[in-house]
Amino acid sequence: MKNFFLLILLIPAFYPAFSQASANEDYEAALRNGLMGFEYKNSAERYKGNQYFAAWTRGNVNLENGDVVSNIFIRYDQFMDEVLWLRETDFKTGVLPRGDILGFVLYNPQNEPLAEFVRRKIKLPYKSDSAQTFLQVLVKRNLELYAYRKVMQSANDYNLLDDTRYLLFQNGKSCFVGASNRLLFKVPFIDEEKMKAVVRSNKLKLNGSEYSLIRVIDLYNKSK
Amino acid sequence: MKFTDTRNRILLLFIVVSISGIPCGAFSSNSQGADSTDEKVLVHLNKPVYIAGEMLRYRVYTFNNQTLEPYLNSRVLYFALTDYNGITTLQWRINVHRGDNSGYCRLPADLKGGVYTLTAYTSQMRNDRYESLFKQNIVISSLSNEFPDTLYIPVINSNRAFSTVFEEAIQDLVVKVGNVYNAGDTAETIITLNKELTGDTASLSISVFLSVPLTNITINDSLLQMKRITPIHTGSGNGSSDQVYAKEDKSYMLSGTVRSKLTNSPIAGGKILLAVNDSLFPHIRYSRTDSTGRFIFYLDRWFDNRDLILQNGDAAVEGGILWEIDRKRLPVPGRPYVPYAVHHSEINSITMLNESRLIESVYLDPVNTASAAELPPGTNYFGPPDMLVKPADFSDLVNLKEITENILPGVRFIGRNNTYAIQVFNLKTGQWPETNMILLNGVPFYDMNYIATLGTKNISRIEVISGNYLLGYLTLEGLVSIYTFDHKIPEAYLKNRSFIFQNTVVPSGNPASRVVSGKASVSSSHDPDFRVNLLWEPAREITGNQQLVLRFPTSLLKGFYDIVVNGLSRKGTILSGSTSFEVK
Repeated sequence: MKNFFLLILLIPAFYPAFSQASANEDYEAALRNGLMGFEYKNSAERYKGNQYFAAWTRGNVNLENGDVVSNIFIRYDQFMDEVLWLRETDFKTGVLPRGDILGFVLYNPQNEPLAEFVRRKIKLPYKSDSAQTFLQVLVKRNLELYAYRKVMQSANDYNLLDDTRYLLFQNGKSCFVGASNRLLFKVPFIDEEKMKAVVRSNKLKLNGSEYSLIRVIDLYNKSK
Repeated sequence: MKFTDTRNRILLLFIVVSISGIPCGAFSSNSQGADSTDEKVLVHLNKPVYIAGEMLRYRVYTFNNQTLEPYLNSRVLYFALTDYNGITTLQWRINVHRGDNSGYCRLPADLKGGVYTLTAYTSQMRNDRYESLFKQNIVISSLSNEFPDTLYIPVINSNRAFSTVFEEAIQDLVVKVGNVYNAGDTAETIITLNKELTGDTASLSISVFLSVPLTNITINDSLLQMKRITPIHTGSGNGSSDQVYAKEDKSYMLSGTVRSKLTNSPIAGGKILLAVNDSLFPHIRYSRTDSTGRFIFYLDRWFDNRDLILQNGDAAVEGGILWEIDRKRLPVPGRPYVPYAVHHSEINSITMLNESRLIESVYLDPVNTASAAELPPGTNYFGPPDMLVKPADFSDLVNLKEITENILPGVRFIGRNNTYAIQVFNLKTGQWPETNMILLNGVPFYDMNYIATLGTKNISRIEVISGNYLLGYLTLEGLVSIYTFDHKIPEAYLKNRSFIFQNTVVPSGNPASRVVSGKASVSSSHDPDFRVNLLWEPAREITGNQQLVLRFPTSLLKGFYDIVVNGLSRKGTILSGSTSFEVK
């Protein structure tokens, strides 16, 4: 009973907020409903392995023109480097046009950010030209750390192999890094002495894991 | 127990107050209550009297309703020119942006002489009381009709207008000019902000025009005096609406309703396609109708000044579709107006303006000739195609069936009982799904009998998407795009199957650059010079301790001229100043 009274008391407080938000909701709904793209054709259908970054999750897609298509089911195809969208009315899968996408954020069922991806132009180690690709944001600060979530087809069997690479970005410069002390100290735009001090004072050891790399870069950014 | 009773009573009181507060909170923004919008608009016109067919020039000031500081939320502004009856005779729309917004619109040449009211509003402002919108009466004379001997002057009770501010407040602007000039001399005016505005910066618009006696009578204050002695009449107006209008803070909203022509019932869940005839690639938008048959498209500036082709992308509706588009008209209520018998001297002054217009019409109206910046074509959501064929590269094929059979592998054009359909081979499923829709010059097109007649002499290129394409809630099973040499969609098809909306936007002029003290502004003159409007500077900037000096040539028209300066300071002061001089 008491809760019922409280609910009634709260109604007028929330009502104006809802009415003001409706215009934005209409706009967001129009963006969601107007999505278009080619229907997804999985070119690695017969391959085994982790082709996708995660399962279908709710997510937001940030478009070039500043619009945000929110609360749609999306998934990242690591093999094709494409953002997939699930049309909820008939569960057909479309490929969102990558040229229009600045980035996207995946959310877990608790509506907490699971991963954030941005589109960046990088020069891939095994390609001659630079290309626009989606990178997962791991550390956002002065020195930025991204993961290039790539899976490759194995040469001999129908398997997909994880070929994740890590990239450091600072002031427009980028560099692929491995998760070892020796490689990290040699990155041109990293202050070697400062990095060594960070590793030493925090008793860190880069054991090749993604977590250790994130921790080192994060502490490096925080140190003065 | 007693305490519980008291507590319950207090709680009950709260509930009653809260529930009674719901309607206030929810509906206060509607037409009968306070203004729902946080933005306000003021407009400065280059002069108060126009000849039909002439260019009306304006400067728009947008500001916050509370702080009066320059502010803009909406992206689109509408102008409506209504007669004394409240009937809209002209409506146009401009895109507004942060900063200076100025522009021009040509008045129709067939407008009859009389007093008209110009109203400026955003889509959302239509929720507000009509009285709270910016309005200004202007006099329009016609070269082809005699000026009426009785004018019906709409009474404007606007609570905010430059003139009102000027009348009631101390002048924030000091405008100085010489008292008398000889015809053809160069006049000089000096504009300064008063001392209280030191440290502030203002954007100004300046107009200099021939003063005619009739203009004084059309402004509000004079009318208020007249109201006491003259009976007031009420116009019929366009009526009012209970609809709640949305804010266009993202882009222009094209909204409307679709109904069945047969039953007049709304088409709920309809799939509406918006397309533009384009030779580059398709520009298609999708919208779904709600339970009332209402659809909305948010259109970016690429769609400005194009013919938008609206179609039903769903199964055909028996009897056809009735399209109702929201034209963003202002619901003008029946407004009071005052009849006014025009004096001889006033008619003479209007005749003089007509004559000067006849002379001046040989010179082109100096409009901003710089074309609007070319907008990038946007994203091609339909590319790259799986196949692209240019039929002209092959030998002559007289119809589409021959084309598909000879040069378009994976596409079949089949005919059954005088009806045709297209089949596109789907590599993934190995099937030949059938469709009766193609894209013709970027527009969804369902008349396969017409398509059947197209041969290599008509078609410039064909693009094929062999897989499925998801377009909103539609699935296109294979898609063939045909681009013709003439870039046309058959008129009969457009008439029967679609609704065309001319998305006209009046271009904005580029604001003038900043002028500092001592530098003269250049104004064009010609010989013989019978200009009525000697100067129109829609966007000048002035800081607290500066003088704005403007020089302009006077014309051969003798009489008294008014200099009107309006503006808005960054700290939120609405500025107005005026003075006059004589040309002998």
